[in-house]
Amino acid sequence: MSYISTEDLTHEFNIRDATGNIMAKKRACDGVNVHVEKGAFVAILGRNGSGKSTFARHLNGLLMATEGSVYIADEKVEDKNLIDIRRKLGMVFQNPDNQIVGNSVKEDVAFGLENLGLPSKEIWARIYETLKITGMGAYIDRNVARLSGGQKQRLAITSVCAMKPETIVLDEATSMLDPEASKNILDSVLELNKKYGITIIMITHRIEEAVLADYIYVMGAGKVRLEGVTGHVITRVKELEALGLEAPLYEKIKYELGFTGNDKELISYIKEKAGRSSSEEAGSSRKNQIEDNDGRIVNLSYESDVDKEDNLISETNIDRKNDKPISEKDISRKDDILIWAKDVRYIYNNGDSTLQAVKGVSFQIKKGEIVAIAGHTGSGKTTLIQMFNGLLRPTSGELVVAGTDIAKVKDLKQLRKGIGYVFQYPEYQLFEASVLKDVKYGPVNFGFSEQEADGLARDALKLVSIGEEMYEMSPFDLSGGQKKRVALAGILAYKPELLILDEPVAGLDPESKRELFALIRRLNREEGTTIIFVSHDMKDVYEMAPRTIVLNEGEIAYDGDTGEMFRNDKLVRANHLAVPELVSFKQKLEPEIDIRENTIAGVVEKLKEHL
Amino acid sequence: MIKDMTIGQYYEGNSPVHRLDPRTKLIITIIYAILVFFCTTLPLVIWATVGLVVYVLMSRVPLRHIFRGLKFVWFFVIVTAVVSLFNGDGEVLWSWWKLSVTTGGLYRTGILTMRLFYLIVGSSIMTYTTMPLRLTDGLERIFSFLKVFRVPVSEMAMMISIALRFIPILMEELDKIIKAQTSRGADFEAGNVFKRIKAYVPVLVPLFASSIRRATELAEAMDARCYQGGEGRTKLVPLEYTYRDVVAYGCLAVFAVGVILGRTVFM
Repeated sequence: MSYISTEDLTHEFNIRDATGNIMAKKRACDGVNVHVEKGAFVAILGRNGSGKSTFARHLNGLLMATEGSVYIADEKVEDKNLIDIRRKLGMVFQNPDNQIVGNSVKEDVAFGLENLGLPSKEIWARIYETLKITGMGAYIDRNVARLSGGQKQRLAITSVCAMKPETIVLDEATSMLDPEASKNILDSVLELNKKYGITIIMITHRIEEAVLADYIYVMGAGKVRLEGVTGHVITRVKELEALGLEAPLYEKIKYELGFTGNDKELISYIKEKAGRSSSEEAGSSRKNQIEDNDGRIVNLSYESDVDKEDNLISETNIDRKNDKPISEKDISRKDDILIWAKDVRYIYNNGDSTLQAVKGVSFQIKKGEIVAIAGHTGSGKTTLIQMFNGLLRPTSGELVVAGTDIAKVKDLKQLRKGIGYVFQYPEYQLFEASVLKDVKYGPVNFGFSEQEADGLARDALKLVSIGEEMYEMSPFDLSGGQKKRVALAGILAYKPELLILDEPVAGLDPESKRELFALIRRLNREEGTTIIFVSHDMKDVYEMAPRTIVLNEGEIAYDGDTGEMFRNDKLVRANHLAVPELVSFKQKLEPEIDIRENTIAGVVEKLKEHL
Repeated sequence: MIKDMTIGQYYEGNSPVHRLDPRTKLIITIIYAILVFFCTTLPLVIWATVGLVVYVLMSRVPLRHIFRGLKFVWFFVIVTAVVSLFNGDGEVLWSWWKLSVTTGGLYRTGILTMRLFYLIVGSSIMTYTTMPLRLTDGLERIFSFLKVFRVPVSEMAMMISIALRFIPILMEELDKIIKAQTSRGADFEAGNVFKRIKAYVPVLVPLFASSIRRATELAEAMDARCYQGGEGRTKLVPLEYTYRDVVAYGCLAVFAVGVILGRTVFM
C-alpha cells in the first residue's frame, strides 16, 4: 500500500433551504482514489469548486469521509488517532492571516509545539532550527502584523515544519500572494521536498505550480478526471481546458501546431519552417531593424506601428511634456479626457509618522481606454486608484475626474455614481438578504427609484450570467466565483462610465478569469466604459491593457505601451515585473518572425499562417 | 495606516521591568492602583510620585511615548478636574454666577488629577512593557485557581490573545468595507441618528460575516496543529519568578508601608 492512500473517498454535503431543511445532497468528493509515495511531490489540480480542498481536509481528519477511507502510513484516519495523524501530516492553508495564532513569529512557531506538550527548551531549539531552514531567522521577534503576505505564509510553513511532519499539504497556499512571493514560497516547498525528504501534496488551480510536482491528479466535480506523471498530464491540452484549467504555454502551442518535441526544438522548428516559407516577409521586416550597442535587435517597424496605432497614448505623452496646467475650462473642452492628474500627492498621516505613498504623479487617461496599473507591493497603486473616486483625497496637486475636482468638491456622490470601484474581495460589499436586493443597493443610493433600480439590477445580473433562480438566494450561500460576479453586478448596475478594478482576477481559476476578462472587454467595446485595473499578474496586464502605468515607490516609472514596456529590460528588472511567457516566447522567435498579437490564440493563428 | 496600530502599545525593550514576570506586573498595577486611592494628602501624593518615577525609570519607556499613549484619557481627566474644581470650601478665589473656585477646591482638584493621572500611567507601564500574550499568560496563571470551578481559564486566555491578534486585521478590513460601500453610494453622515445607524448595516454585516469566516478558518488551522485546549499544553516561556520579582515585590512592600505610615502620620 502507498504511504498515503484514499479508497473511494466520498464526502456528501447537505444543501439546506432558508429554513434549514435539507433540500438535497451534494457530493463534493465522489469516489476519489489518490496514492502518494513517501517523499513524493504530488499536485492536486482543479478549478474552484472541483472538490480538491474538501479532499485535502480528509487527509488530516478535519473532515471525515461519508464513504470510503483514508490511510496514512498504514494507519486509518479515525477520530481516535487524529492527533497522531496531524503530527505526521501538517497543513498550510490559503489565507495567511487566518492560520497564524501567535502575535509574534516565535509565538506562532511555538503554538503547535506547545500543543504537543514539548518542554520549553526543546521548543526554543526547534524554533531556531526551523526558522533557519525557511530563512526567517531574522524575524524571530517580529510582530506578525508587520509581516508581508508572503512572509506570513512563509511563517505558516515554518510553524508546520517545526512540528516535524512527514507530509505537508498546501491548500492553495500561494493564491493570495503576488507572483514574486509565490515563487519564493514554492522554492522553499521544493527545498523541503528535495533536501529534507518531506512528502508534499499541493492543492492548486495553477498549472505553473502543478508542474513542479512529479505526479498530478486533476479533479473536476468531485472526481479524479485525469492523472499521470507531470510530463504527461500537461500535454493533455484539451482535457485540461474542458476542466476549466489551462495547459502551459508551450504545450498549448505544440498542441495547436501538432508538434511533438521539447520546448527548444519547438523554437528552432518554427524558426526554420517560417524562415523558409516566408523568407520574403521576414526580409522586409529585417530592413527596419538595427542593432543597438549590446547587439540586441531593435525592431523599428514595431515601434513605428505602435505610434500610428496608439496615437492616443503618444498624445497623452505630449500633453505631459507641455506640462501646462489645464484650467477647468480647458478640461470641459477636452471632453475626451476622463482623468487629469497633475502633480498628485498623497501622504498618510499616522499621528507620529507620515508616509508619502504617492509622490507627485501626472498623467491623463482618456475615455474608452483600458489602462493597467502595475508595480511592486507598496508602490502606491491602491492609494492612487482610491483617489479616483475620492475615497482618498489628494494631499496636494490637482486631480480632475469626469470634470470633478477631487480635492475641492465636497459632495462626491454624483461623481461616484459614474465610477465603479470593484474591490478585490466581493466579501467587502455583500450584505443584503438576497442577491437581487444587494445589487439594487447601489442604484437606490444613487437616487434611482425602487422600480428603476430593480430593472437595472436585473440587467446587471444578466450581464454577469447570474440566473434568475439565484436572485432570491442569500449572497452568502453562493460560491466564490458567483459572489465575485454578484459583487461586480452590484457595481455595473448603476452603469459607471469608469470601472476601477483592484486585482480583479486574483484567486480565480483560469476559466472564471477568462469569463471575467471577456466581460470587461465587452463593456469597454460596447458601452465605451473606461477600464483601469491593478494587477500583479503581468500576463493579464499584457493581454488586457494596451497601456500600462508602472508605479515605483509612489512615482511613475513608466507610462506607455504595454508591449514596449516588456522590451525594456532595465525597467522590467527595476520594478520586479515578470515578463509574461508569451512575450519571451515571441522574443525567442525574433527576428525571423515578428508577431504583434498579444494573446495565445492570436499568436497561434499567426504561427499557423507562417508555417 | 491602520495596521500599524498596535493594541496594548507594547514598547519594545529589555529593561528590568520588561523582564519581570507578568504576574508581578499585574499585582504591582493592582496594588499601586489601590494604594493611590488612599493618597489623599499632598505628602502622600509626593510619595506616590516617587514610586511612579522609580517604576517609569526602571521601565525605560520614554516619557514622550507614555504621554502619546494618553491622548484619549486627557479628556476624561480634564472633565473630572473641572467638575471637582467648582466643588470645595475655603477662601473664594474666583466666582461667577453660582460657580466659585475656592482654595480647598483647587487643592483637592490638584490632588485628584494627579492621582487619576498616576493611576493611568501606572497601569500603562504594564501594557508598555508586557507583550499581550505574556499578559494573558499572567492572567491565566493568577486565575488558574478558578479551574477548580470548571472555569475554562486557559481557553479564555487563548481567546483574549487571539482577539488581540485579530483586532488590527479587522480594523483594516472595516476600513476597506467602508470604502467599498462608500463607492456604492453609501452615506454615513446624512439624516438623523436612526438613519445613520441604519447606514452602518451594510458595513457591519460584511464585517460580521468575515469575522465568522476567519474564526472558522482559524479553528481549522488550530485543529490541524493539534490544539486540544489547555490540557497538556506547555509554554514557550514558562512563567517563573526570579530574583527580579523578589526585588520588585520588596519595592512594592516598601511603597505600601510608606503609604500606610503616611496615612497614620499625616491624617
